[in-house]
Amino acid sequence: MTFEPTIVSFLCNWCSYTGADLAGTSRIPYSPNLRTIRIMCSGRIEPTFVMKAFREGADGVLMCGCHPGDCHYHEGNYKCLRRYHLLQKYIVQMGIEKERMRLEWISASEGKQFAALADEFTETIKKLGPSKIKKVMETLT
Amino acid sequence: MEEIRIGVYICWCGSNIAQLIDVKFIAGEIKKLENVIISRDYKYMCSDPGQETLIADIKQNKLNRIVVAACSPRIHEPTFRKALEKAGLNPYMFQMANIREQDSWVHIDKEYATLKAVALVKAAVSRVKHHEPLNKKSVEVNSATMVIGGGITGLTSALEIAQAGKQVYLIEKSDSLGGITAKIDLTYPDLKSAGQMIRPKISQVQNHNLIEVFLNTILEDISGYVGNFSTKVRRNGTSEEITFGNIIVATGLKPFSPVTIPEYKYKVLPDVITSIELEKMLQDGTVKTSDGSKPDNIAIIHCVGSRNEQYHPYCSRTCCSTALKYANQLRSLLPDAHLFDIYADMRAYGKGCEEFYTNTSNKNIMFLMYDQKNGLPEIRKANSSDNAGMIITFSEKLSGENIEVPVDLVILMTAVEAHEDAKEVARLTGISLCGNDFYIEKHPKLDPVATTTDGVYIAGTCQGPKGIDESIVQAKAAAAKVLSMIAMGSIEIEVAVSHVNEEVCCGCQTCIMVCPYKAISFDEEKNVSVVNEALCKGCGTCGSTCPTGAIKSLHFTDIQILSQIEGLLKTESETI
Amino acid sequence: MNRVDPKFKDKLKPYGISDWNECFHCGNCTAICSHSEDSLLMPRNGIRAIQLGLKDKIHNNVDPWLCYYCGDCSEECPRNANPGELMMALRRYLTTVYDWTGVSRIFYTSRTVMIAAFLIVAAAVVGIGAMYSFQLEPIMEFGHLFEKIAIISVAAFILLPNIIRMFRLTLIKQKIKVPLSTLLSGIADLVINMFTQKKTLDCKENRVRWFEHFILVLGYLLLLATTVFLNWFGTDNIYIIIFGYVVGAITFIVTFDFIIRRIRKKAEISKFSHLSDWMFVVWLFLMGLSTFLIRVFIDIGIIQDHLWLYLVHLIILAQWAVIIVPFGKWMHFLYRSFAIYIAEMKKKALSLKQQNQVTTITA
Repeated sequence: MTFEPTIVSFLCNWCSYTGADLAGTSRIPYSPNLRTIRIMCSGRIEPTFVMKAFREGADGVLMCGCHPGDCHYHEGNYKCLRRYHLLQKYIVQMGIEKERMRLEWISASEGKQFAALADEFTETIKKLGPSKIKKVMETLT
Repeated sequence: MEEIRIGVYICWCGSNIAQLIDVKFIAGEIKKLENVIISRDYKYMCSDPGQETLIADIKQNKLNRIVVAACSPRIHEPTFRKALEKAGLNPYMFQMANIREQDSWVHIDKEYATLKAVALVKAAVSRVKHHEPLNKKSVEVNSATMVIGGGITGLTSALEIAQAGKQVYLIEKSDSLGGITAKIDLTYPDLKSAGQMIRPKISQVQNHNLIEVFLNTILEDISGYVGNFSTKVRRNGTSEEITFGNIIVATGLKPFSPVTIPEYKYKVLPDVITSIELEKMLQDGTVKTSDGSKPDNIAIIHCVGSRNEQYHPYCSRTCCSTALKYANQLRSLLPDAHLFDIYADMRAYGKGCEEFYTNTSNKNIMFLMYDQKNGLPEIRKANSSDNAGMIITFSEKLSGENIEVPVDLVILMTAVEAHEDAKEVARLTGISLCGNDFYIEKHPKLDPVATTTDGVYIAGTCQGPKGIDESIVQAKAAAAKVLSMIAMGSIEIEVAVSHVNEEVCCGCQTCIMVCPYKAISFDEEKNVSVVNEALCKGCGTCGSTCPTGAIKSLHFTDIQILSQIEGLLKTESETI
Repeated sequence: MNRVDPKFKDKLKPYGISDWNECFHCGNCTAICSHSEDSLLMPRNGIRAIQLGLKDKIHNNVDPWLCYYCGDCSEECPRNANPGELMMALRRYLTTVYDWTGVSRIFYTSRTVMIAAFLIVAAAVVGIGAMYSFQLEPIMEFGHLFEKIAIISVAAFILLPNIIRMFRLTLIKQKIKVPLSTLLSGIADLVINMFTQKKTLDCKENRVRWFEHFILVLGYLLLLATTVFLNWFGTDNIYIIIFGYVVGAITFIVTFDFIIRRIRKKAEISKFSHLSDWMFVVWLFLMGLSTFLIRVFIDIGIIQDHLWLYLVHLIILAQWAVIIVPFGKWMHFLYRSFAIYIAEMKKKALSLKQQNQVTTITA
């Protein structure tokens, strides 16, 4: 059986979630591995959320926000970007490949780009194989 | 604590969801979950009977949490929240799972789509357990309105609102009112004077005691929220502050500059002019070539910068009918001239325009078709033997021949672009742009002049290319929206704001640094951060920054999101 | 590169084109046409060439001659642009293009000149009658001689040069090289097409019209042969006399039917009649009828008292021979069959060229 990864995506309400909805209204198919959590702003994505997702068995985490300069809340996406860089170093220490986490900018009009991103990220995770962190956590506790 | 009783509803959305996703299977799976009292599927949850079922269930079964798995919450979350309210439940005790836009419409495999839908609904169920009732806040609406842009759209909106007896501040960057409409000679398809239409509007606006016109004025900053905005405007070097409750953005268009299209040699050959330049000639009553002579051969080229991936992919919508208008005007001004209309597709849409096209086609005009896929027509200077100033060459689609057209004057039907200030105004007002710098409406069909920012409306060509008639429709629609808002007197505002738990706050002030709205201040006495709920817009950035977890982003709390993640990933037992 | 010419369509107006502007190129006419093939002028492409004034494209193509005016395209046309009549007008126009003398252009574009020419010829015949003091015998002798001279000189000075011109425009100037063997091999078909018009049968529902036209052509040519070469008016051979009656009757009966149809305007083909169409069909009728009556008068022995009949016949004959045949619609008899021949040659040349390309590539 081929490996079908589970990917948790955090999409900001104003740009990326709307962009993902646009992919839907435009009927652009993409791989069904993405499971979305809507937040108001990418600035709301706490490192805890990402770690929780990995802990619960996500094979990848995708975060999307508005393009730089377009944030509905002026600069939440910059805050997210800063945290993302720090978090990347952190997950590597935890034994999670840094490719398993991605931050991308998707605007409300980029339905096509969102679908392409979903497919491309799913492929990346498929190549990496299942995340081991859940097993590790289980043995630890 | 009261017992959690959840009702879950899986919508078929006709066949939109049900044809790919096994809704009955989901309803069955969810029924097995703890605290789920009711789990049903229904053809159209948003319909009246759908909502009535929901309300009846809440009342009969004492449900206190509701999950609806249907379309995007951006469409029907307000609908279901209202239904909860009707049933006497706090509207925030509700969560939606998007199984249409982000599932049934984008996936092909039935099994995976159903599996994903189960996960999404489980996530919603586990999130909704942690929902808390929030009380809506009501604020008074300032009855003044700011209209940005003094073209035909801004003028119309301003007049509509002022005539209803409400104050309007009309902001215009340039030194005169009227915008593009003041620069054109006749309108299509009726061939009536645009000046006779716009001049009375300008004077009405200028003389109305409820309209304050700000010419040569730039917006420096906009703050506040729906019902209570304020802005700093700078006029002649001085800054002043105005307050108002709603904003109508009508920043209009900018004509595309064809210098970037090498084939057309605009600014290289003097007799290649743009549509706006021809309007000036028509207003003056004479159409001449650069050397002052009467042109014997005139070509009009359509789609200059439109419907071409290299320039603008969209159709500018007004140029075809405008070109037909030129053909008519040129035919009456120069009865013996040869007129060539070089089009890519004739899109004379709208009331009376097809008839206008038919009438124009009988006025001895040669219609030539080109295909942008096979390259653009190319204009070159003619030789002395050509009996014309320039030669246009291209592959004529309907004959399949490469042809040459001798011309003395070429009119380029330039595309409509968003105004260069659109981005800045979008930033100030907090509204979004689509890929082409036009503003995005809240819903293209159901809410075409509202934006995702409450209290900010868009009208006219800033929303997308359109003619005067459609711009006025939008101008009046936006004015009506504003007036209905003013008539309500007060409105309920978003309550999903941030909240500081003073017991936990350590006074580090990190949240104050990250807040983009200056909504958090510091209480020196208590040594804690304090959120001004009227200014907070609920982005949650402070919440994710707070090192002690003292800040709670209401309706997006840590526990709500974490349990949603948990629900999303509980997949062990799922097999079909 | 073709230069557009906005004035060209106005030049075509005298040839019967009316609604060139109505066409919006839906292509229904080409779709319904039994004869349309790739890259032909039929009929949409031809209309476009007229709209744009692509003179060379029209001059270089024989396609309008391949149309037999079944009228399907005009019936199908959603804009009532009458593509069938547009093709007909193109044929009238091309007739003047092929004519080296330029006389047919004047006749086609000016009714006054045409009628004047008819009157002058009539007057000349009356003058000749006077020259012979209105004596039947010498006039009939002159008439017989005139027929022969007219046939030879029209063929030599008009028909042949015009056909050569047609070849030059449509084949030679286009640098289409056709091997001599191919040219020769097509001649048999050329002759068959000329005398049978069998391509008409490709059009739907066209059998009756084809048959009528076929026996008319046959009748006319045989009548010509009987009077000119078998001296029908002078012969005593009973078989020749009866044969002459039959072909003469065919000529005027069929043309009478054609005239009635043009008056009734029921079928697409008879809806629009240019002056040249009327002249052609009426004069052919008059020729058949007058010839028939003369022989009747001869047979009942009253021709001596009715010299006027022969004079009228001679006037009709002269007008036919010096106006209608060289400069009028008669030429379609030749142009049509040669057009089929030229189109066939073009097709063969193209396929030869493609074969050569293929062989050079594989070699």
